[in-house]
Amino acid sequence: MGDENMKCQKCNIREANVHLVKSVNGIKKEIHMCDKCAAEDMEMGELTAGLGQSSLFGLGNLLSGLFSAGYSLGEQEPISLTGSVKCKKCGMSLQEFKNNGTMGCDECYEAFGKNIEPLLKRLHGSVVHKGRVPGKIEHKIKADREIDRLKELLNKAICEEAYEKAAELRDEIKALERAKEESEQILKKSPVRNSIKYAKKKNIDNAKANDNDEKEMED
Amino acid sequence: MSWYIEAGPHHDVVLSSRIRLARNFSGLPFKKRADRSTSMKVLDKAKKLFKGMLYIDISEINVIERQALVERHLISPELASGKNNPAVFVSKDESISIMVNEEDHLRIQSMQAGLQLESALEKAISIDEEIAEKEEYAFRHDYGYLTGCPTNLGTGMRASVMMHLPAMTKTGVMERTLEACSKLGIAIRGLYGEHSNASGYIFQISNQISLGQSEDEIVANVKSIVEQLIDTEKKLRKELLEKDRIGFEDEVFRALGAFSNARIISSEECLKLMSDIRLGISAGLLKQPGIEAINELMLMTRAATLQKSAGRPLEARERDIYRADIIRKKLERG
Repeated sequence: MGDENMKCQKCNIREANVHLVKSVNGIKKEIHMCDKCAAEDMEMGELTAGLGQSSLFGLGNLLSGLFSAGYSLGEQEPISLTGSVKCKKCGMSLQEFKNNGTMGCDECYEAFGKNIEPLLKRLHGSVVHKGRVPGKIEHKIKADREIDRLKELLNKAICEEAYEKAAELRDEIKALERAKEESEQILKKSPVRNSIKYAKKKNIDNAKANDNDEKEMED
Repeated sequence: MSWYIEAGPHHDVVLSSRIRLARNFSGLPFKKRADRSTSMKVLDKAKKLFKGMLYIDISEINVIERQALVERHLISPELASGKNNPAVFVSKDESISIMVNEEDHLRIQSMQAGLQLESALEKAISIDEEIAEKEEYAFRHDYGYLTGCPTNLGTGMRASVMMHLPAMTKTGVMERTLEACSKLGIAIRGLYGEHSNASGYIFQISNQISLGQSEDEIVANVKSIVEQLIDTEKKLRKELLEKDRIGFEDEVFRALGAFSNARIISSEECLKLMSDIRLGISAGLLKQPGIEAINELMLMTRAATLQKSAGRPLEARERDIYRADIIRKKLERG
């Protein structure tokens, strides 16, 4: 078992990494080819002609095909359709993601998460995670989800012109966001965490850590 | 006994179950943007996390060794050809393998014999929880566990089951099943080839969707499809047997004859013979060899594993001779 790749149906040498499922008159046919054979194949070539991507035919092109198909269904245009959106951390651009089909880092989802939501809908039928959550940040996730839920209610209230309710919700959201900010700050400055690091570095015990801090500031 | 030899629940149709979790560490770039120093950092973290497990540095072993690990289901072909610090950590009974620096930083794999998705999931989760206590995962409340490829977002989980479905394939039921399953978000792939003789009629059933459902829901979905496939396959096997009992028996015993006596067996033929013998065992026609022996031979007869046991690389014809040899020796031993 495992994601064992099959050999390309055409050359039978390279691994097949381009998979096409054709449904013709209710009969399903699966085609598995490697990059090279797929690029050379007439039929595959036709299928990719409309995508207008680079000549490298791979998962990225298939994904971006889904991407553009998503928009043609009349879904909302993303905030920025051009490839100019870039991830602040790793520098990957939306265009690069569209070419390759993979993200560069966790920040990329922050940078163009909204842009790829139609793609996620096509792939998974959903854009909201319903599964497990890493234990340590469970409370933070609960807070995030609650904030999202309230924001939705807020939008609804505004649409319905229930401005008093909207104001209440806005205040609730603000309070939650503030509380979240505070608890994150506390965790960052966690005395336990920092002083252990510090003590290891300077080879002194926890009690002395704070004193040394002050001394260095004076210098 | 290794999970791949064991005869698990529904072993007459289901070979094994696997849960795979894809995970990345927060703050470190994913594969596409990871350089050597990043993959080194990832490997260092993994070494600390999985101290008690067997550590294999993929870059230190040769091509045959790597392929043997793939055949043993411990690593993927992707990891076998990895360039930046590819490694794997394996548990003693080989039921857990954790790939490092494959498509994502970590790929936790948990495997069990027969249909045991829940138990495989439990083991995978307990490892995942241990890691989460010590390291921070790349995770968002809306997209779940962040993976390099958006196809793995959310739970980062692939639940798959390996099944033997000769009756469904031979009677043409497989084609219709593929369509129905794909509508339900389930993928069926021939594992060793296309839907033909060459594949030994072994298929992998897995979920296509990982975001928007909980782990338990996904497992329940896959399990329910698998159970229906088991019923259909068993029903069709019974029909085939009743329709032409002597023809069925002939195929089984011819296969056993060739398997036990041939001097030269190609990997393709081997898959077909093993498939017929499995059918014979499941229909109660054969007492020997047992299902565990066939499971073991499934691995022993594969190209790289064969060459490993021979202790040297073998050309195609040499392999085919050695394969027949290994089979006869194993069947004699019992």
